[in-house]
Amino acid sequence: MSDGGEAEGRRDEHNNSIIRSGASNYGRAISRIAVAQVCESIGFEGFDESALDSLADIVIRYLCDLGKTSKFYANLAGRTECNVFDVAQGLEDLGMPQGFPGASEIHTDCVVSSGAVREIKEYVETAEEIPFAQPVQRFPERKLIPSFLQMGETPSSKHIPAWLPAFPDPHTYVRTPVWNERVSDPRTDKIELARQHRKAERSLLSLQQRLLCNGSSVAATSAGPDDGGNLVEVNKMENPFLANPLQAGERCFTS
Amino acid sequence: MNGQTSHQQSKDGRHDDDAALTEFLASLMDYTPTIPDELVEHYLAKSGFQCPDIRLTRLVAVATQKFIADVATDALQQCKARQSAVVKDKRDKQQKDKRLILTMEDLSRALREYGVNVKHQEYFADSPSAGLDSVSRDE
Repeated sequence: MSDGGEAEGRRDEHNNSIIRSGASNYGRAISRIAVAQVCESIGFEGFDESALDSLADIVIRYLCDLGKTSKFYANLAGRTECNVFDVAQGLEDLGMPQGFPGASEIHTDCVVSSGAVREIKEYVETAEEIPFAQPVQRFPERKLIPSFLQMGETPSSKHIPAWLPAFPDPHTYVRTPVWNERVSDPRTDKIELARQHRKAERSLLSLQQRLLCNGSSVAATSAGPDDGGNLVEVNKMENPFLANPLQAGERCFTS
Repeated sequence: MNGQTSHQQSKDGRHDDDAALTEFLASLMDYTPTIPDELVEHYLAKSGFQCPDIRLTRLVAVATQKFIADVATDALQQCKARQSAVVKDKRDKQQKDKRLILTMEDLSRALREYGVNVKHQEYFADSPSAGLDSVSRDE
């Protein structure tokens, strides 16, 4: 699967920056928020961006390491599904560098008396509960192609089992020729093209005329305000939006 | 004889242990870890951990939360130690950060005990000769 390949690639090349897929960015963002919440409950009031990012990355690696170690112990016992003993042994493995009480008595029969699990028990009892700030959807989203059985179809050949994803519909891959229904006459096409050109030119010309008229009306009124009564009109004219509305029939617009 | 009695005792002990274990796992279901279940499941699935039991996912989430809490506590202690050290020198300067901020320095010191080596670049130079004196730069 492509996801597994990406995870392995990332573990091998720690320093290279690989193009991250959407799911990993999303996971990183969520882990950032969770880490920030935990640190806030410890007593921190602010975070450096880079420090928060590093800690979020380390948390994700811790999760992956714990999963890997537990899986290893399960496989060692000849199982594919992990159980609580595998997880407890994985925890002990990961806790080795710091040391935990009872480290000398590991691999006993009882799991609950092992030091690592005991520490977690104490943590659960003493620490306060901080639920995650926002509801999280299940990710990554996978579009499931329905199988032959689900579609109600039978596979076309005997060698294809019915529980496999169904084939796409034939119209998506069978090429059928497309006939052009319209009769194309080059002469009428040229006439139509010329007509559209003329129309565009006419509307452009009329626009230019309108702009010139507006400009000239502003210039004319501001040239010589002799009376006091004209001043009001001048002020109004300078702002085209406050210009006097056109009377009916004063100007005709050609289409 | 001795073997039999010890076998008997270990059987009883195992029964108690099982009860304690189921009790512990039940208590886990009451506690909601800060790390959401979906995130934990995604990364566990990526690393090959397969388990339909949600109590194990919760156990992993709680273990990770404990890890973060331990690291953060150590970093907080480092931060506080540094602040108290500075305040001792200059008592007049009241404007020293009262806020506790998680910095890369404290984090790397705290993580070193856990075997995680997080080295942060102190500064970035744009050329190899940046910062050298003029004689060597001319060469």
